[in-house]
Amino acid sequence: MISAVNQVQSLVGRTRPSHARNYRLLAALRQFLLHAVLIAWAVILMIPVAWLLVSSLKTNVEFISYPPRFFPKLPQWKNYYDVIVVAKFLKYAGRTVWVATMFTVTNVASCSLSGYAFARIKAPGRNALFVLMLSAMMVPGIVTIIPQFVIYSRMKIVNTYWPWFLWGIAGSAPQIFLFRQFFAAFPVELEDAAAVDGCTPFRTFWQIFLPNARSVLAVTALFAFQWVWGDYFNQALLLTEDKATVAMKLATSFVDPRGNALVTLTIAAVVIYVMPLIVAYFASQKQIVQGIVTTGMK
Amino acid sequence: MAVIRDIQVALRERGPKERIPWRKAKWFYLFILPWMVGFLVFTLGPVLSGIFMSFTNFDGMHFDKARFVGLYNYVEAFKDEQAWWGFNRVLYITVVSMPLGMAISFIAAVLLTQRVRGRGVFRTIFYIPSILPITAVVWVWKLMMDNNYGLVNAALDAVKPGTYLRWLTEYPTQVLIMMGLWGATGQATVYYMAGLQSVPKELDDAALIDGATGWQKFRFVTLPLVTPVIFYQLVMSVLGIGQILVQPLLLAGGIGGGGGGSGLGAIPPRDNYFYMVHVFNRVFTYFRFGYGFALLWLLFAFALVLTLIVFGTARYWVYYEVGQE
Repeated sequence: MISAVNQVQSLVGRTRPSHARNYRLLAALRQFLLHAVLIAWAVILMIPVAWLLVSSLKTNVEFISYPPRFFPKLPQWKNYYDVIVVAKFLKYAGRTVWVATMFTVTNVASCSLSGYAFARIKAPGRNALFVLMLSAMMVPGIVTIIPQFVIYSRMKIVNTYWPWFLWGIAGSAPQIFLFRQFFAAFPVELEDAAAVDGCTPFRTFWQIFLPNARSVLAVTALFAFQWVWGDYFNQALLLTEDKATVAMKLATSFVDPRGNALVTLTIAAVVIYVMPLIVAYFASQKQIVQGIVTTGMK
Repeated sequence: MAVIRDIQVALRERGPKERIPWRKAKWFYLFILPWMVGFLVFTLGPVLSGIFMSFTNFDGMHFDKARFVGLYNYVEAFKDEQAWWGFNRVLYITVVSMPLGMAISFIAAVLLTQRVRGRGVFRTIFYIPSILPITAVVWVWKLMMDNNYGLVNAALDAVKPGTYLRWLTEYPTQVLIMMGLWGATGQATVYYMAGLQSVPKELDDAALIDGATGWQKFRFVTLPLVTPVIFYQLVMSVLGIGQILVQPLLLAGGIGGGGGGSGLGAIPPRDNYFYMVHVFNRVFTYFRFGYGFALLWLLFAFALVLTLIVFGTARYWVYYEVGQE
């Protein structure tokens, strides 16, 4: 069929050369218009980001002076130094990293196990449980978080990092689904050979499937880590000031000893805060987008 | 999106004919045990206990003092003017931002799947706002829209001196809509792009041979094939209707809110007092957990009914390939 199209096109091109020239002109015009629209759109999208960046390089006084100037008179790189050294950014970021790591490790372990089971081990009720798991995705988080809050306060683990550990063990439907899709594509011979060798399903999983699942492991780990890193709601709900994470700190601003908000310093902190996410995105754009499209989640 | 298809497949599949010996099947249950326990404790348990609690006056701490109050909470909910206000605000923001968001992300996806130089760079730029976490997005938009220090007011003032709009206090919902469009369309764009790219090349060529113009090709070939993606987006946004909570709370603080006024305890301007904000306020400020649950279930029921209606319309406009497995 494609060759037929080519033939038709070449036929048209041969008999009516003027049309071909028009066509080329049209294509160039189209290309130009597309570029114009895309560039304008991209600029509009990036202005807020640029404004964030230049604001992070201003002094507090410069920031509140009217009318605002776009570029700082003298870029205050010191803001970045100050937010790390004086405002102890790393202390709060360190807490987030700790919580996120705990969640990521348990979450990936739990989800890979479940995903493997849903993909490779036959058992009565498997389909029903699979549907149940996926439908759980439809329940809005807000409906379950309040009872969970009650549970955690009864367990006396509010204002600790334990809830993230428990959430990790509980796994999460999109990640389980991702693992399940991935493991389902493995050839059956792999298991048969392992079974002949007398491997238990756990050893098959651990020594054959998991080492071959590096890409999906990386993506799910990244998603899990990102979730904790970017989440504000659960942290603000369960933790208080003495356990504050970086997201909580950004929401209420860093303050000087007298309680005045250090605005531009906090903006610099926001820039540092989003950097790892941007780097991670650039490093693994393809896998991330694939994961998002498969599971339908962020 | 593969999720919906897999649910359908799993529902259609009959159980295996042969009996599976327990020594094999037990591994399945063993492997899914962590998820299973988590599901019972963190999803099913909360949902059931939430339903139960909505018929009590539970205050979040004292189980011994909780009393069964029948339908009282539900009756009160229907008389609660603030809840109605919040509900109307939810309808307003949904009616404005849902179609806008879907249209914008769809157009973006169409543009980004054209053959154009530098496509990869554009795709990356279009997605960057979606990478940013909520606290960062809110900071970005506070900086843009602040009454005194914001870039937008500065620009307006430069164009027409003397213009001064109190965005964060008088137009907070509009700010929220802009913020949502900026921060969330990248996500939907990715889905639409995936849908557009999965349109088989042969169909395009066939349309070309039949003499279809570019627009006709788009309208009668591409668009029908992308309707499942549009449907998925629609279902997900309808299901999550009224969940908007954290953005208005964070936006309420103003720049450098410091200790007071920001965080989850903030009260947004009246225009941004959405349904969930009201629920949150009743639960965590007045400790009316029972009442809060009644409000939650009413909204969830509403979302569910809307979703079912959307599902009902599917057969009129969503295109499914016959015999798709």
